[in-house]
Amino acid sequence: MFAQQVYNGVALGAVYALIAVGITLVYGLSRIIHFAVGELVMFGSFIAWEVQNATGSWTLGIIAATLALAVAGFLTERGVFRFTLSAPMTGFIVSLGLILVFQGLAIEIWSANPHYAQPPLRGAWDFGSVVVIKQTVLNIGIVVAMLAISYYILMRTRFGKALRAVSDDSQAAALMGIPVRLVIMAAFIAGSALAGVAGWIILTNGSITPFVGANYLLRGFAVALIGGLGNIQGAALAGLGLGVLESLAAGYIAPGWNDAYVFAGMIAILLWRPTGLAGGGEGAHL
Amino acid sequence: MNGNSAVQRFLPHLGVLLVGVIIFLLPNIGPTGKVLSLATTTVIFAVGGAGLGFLWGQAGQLTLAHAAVFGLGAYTAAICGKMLGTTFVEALPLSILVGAISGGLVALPSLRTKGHYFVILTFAIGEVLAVIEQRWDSLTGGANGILITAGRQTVLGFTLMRRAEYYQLTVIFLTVVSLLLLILTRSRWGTILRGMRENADLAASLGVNIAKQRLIAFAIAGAIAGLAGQLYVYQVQFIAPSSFTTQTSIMFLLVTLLGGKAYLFGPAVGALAYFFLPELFGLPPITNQIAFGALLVLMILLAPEGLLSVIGRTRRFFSRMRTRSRMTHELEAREAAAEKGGQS
Amino acid sequence: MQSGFLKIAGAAAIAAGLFAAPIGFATTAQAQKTGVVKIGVNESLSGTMIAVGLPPAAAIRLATKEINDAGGFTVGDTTYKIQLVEVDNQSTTANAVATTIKLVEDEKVKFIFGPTLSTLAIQSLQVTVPNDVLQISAASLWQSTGNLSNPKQPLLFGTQMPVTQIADIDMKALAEFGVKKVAFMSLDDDTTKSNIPSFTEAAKKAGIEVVLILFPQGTTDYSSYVSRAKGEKVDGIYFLYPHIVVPELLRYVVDLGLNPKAFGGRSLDANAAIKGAIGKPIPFPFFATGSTPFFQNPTEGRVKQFVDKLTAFDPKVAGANANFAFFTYDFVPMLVKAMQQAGTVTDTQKVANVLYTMKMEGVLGTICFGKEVRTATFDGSLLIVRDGKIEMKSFPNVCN
Repeated sequence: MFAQQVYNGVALGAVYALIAVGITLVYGLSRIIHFAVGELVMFGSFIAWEVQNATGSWTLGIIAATLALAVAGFLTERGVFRFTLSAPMTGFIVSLGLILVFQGLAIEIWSANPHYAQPPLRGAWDFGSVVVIKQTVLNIGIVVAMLAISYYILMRTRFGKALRAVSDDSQAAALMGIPVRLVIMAAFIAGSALAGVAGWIILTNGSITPFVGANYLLRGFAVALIGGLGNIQGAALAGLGLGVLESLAAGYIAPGWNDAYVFAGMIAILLWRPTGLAGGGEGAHL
Repeated sequence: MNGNSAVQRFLPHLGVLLVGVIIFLLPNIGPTGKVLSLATTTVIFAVGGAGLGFLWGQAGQLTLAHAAVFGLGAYTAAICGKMLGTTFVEALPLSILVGAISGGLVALPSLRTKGHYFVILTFAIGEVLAVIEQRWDSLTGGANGILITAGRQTVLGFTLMRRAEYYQLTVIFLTVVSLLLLILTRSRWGTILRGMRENADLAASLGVNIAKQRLIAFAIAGAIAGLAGQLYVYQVQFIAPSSFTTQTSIMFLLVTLLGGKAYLFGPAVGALAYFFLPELFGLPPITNQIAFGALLVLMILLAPEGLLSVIGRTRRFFSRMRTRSRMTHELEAREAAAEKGGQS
Repeated sequence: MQSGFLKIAGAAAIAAGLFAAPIGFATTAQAQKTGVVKIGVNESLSGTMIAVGLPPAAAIRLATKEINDAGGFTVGDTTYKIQLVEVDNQSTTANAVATTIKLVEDEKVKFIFGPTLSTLAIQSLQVTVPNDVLQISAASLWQSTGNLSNPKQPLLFGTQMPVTQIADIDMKALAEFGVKKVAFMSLDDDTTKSNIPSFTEAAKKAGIEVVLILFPQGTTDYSSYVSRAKGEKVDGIYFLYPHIVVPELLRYVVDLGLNPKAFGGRSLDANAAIKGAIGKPIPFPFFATGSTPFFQNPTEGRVKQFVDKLTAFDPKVAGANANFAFFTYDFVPMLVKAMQQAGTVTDTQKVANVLYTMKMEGVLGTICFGKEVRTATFDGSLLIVRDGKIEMKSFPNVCN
């Protein structure tokens, strides 16, 4: 039972980690608390559902969700968020407005009724004390791959270096000749694309509605902050921690207090290490 | 000269009173019940928002736990009313006190964290408080919530259960809160707060106890939120675990920023826009939601300093135009004079 | 900084006042012996619970259209048509009071359907009760907080079967499957908590041990909860709501190898057990008890006919919560009939007096309101899915 819950938690935490990396990219660079990320994840789910229904192919579903969300990231950055870079709080409020728009659009397009699809892998391996659902293995694999790619790009490429430079000090980066605005735009696109992948994974977990976004948003932010901004290992660790914690709470104690544990833990960690567990960029002035 | 400057000094105070009187008279023009009820909600959120606006606009500190403090005030009033049988007036100091204390507690992490980390921390604090409000069944009435009724109570001659009179009572509270904030803003302390906002290190080097002043500012904002919470609970007369959610925290933020955090009546204008704009579209519900969201984005993009800043901007624009035309006039006159002179 | 903006604030206040220009409303003019009865609909037409609000609202629209198309109804010497006044409470408590005020004070509506959402329904009472409005809602909190048995609120009527009655039927069904230890799974919220005592009581009576497994709002993954049920070694699962998670829950039960003697709940969508959840029939018995007929699996003639009619009328209704349509449809003609028998379209107490004892045949079967608790009872039914095949059992109603 304990091992089972830990495994369930790992599978759950993987999704949080993926969303958190997207958030950490956008937030780390633009300082915008982008609350519409949850809605982006929701859109990813519905697009994957739509494409999979039309073509019968899961691979196409995940590709379509990722590409469509990358475009959405581009459009929102160009259309809206680039005007709010000098005042990130304004960006935050703008994202709240976008939530209303995205949710409304999703209801208009897909109705408020739940949508459900069979995951591509069916069944489970029974190891006695732990039953491993095959689809979760695939999902964890995808998340690990995405995180590895993100880590590689961030740490080993010129683009990643530019990204980190902008995150640390955008003015200095600009002085060094780094195209700050372009880098920020790229972060929005990449962050949104990750939300698309996350959307697909959520679809394999169960029913989706236009309101699923909010559930992932708060946890995504908690994970991003606990892990430290701009820190992918941190996000992965924090995501797993949160997933396992939530799963154990569900298995043994009153899960109704889940959010309280999570956020109390986040408060404690931020007070103990104000830039997150693994260290990250420092908060800017408002 | 002296009398004139005294009048000038108190002009803003008179202005606040005037606005209060105007809003107060709303029931006299025969609004529909729905408008009156929405107007009451608007005023209550304007009161709560005023606290946040003061903290954010003057002290430069933003808290996302404001709604949780508001909820604590509401629960204080409801629980006292239910368990101790307190009246509105008896519960009021308690709600305000609970608001001030919890508001002050929220400020504590600001001693260790700053900037966005602090904002997110306050958000987390707000979420923890919200979970407690939602789950502490024995105190908060659990699933069935708490029903309270004011019965025949009157406050300052206003019957709480009559909608128009309750509305007017909330307007009085808004006016009093606005006057107090106006006085605070214009006081020496207000200058210190703004100094801290602009440059905390400089203020500290001048001997200002930053932590203490900040704590006081947070407590004041909290007290106002607690007051607004009590006003809210006596309006809806029912409070359940689902009454205060993340949505409420976001609402305060929206209302304050939409109107303009730097303006005394910014949150009031923001609340007015927030509650009444969707009523104006008259679209089907979902289309309405999309339209409101889009409008919100547009308003914030066009007036990031709040709707009230638009007026300031327009005025500056016109005064610049005036200055320019005056200058052209003078120039023309001078040229004409020079020409005359040349001719003569 | 202030004075200039104060003027503006004042202007804004005046603007607010302007919106308040009184809206004239038509009184039921009787000169030509025709008239209009306003019926209010207060539902979640937007917001997070829109899926719960749409089906009952659509069913009321359909019922109204049918009555009006048939020429309306006659009370005394006047022929009336129904005018629906719809308000959207946006699924939020903050709006529940304002929308009810609009219906009652501005539109002078005397008969209101909704809100279906429990906390909103409770909030609306502060407006409807003092104004003698006859209000009909499926809100389950009305039962558990005693509003429907309160003699001081005689004009409130519920449309969900009494929880105790449903609980009895359901726990007996579980016992028939041989379940000894059941996991109650549901969302951890106000509605669930108000229902749980009745079910625990009924389970005890049926000799079944209960394990409560509640998941909080915003749960994103149910495998941990199903794992817990497995760890508790339950041999049956009883699911309350939200209905949208039934397919994934069934899938986890299959994948994690729980193999219960039965999985069931109120008004669950049987399609999940036949094919929806795992693409083929689930390997254990599934049952759904009817606090309403089954919108997704309408077997009987009249139910099927209604489902087809409503789906054609408003395709958006078909969904996991479509069953909520049953909670309003029959009650519109029932209300009209009561007005006719009472001989009034304004005196709500007289209309209520008729409703207390009235019996009516509708899509739900024979409908009547309980004497102790003013909530509707009608023909109950039990639907069982074994290896993808549906069996139906019906329980005759208890009206007499």
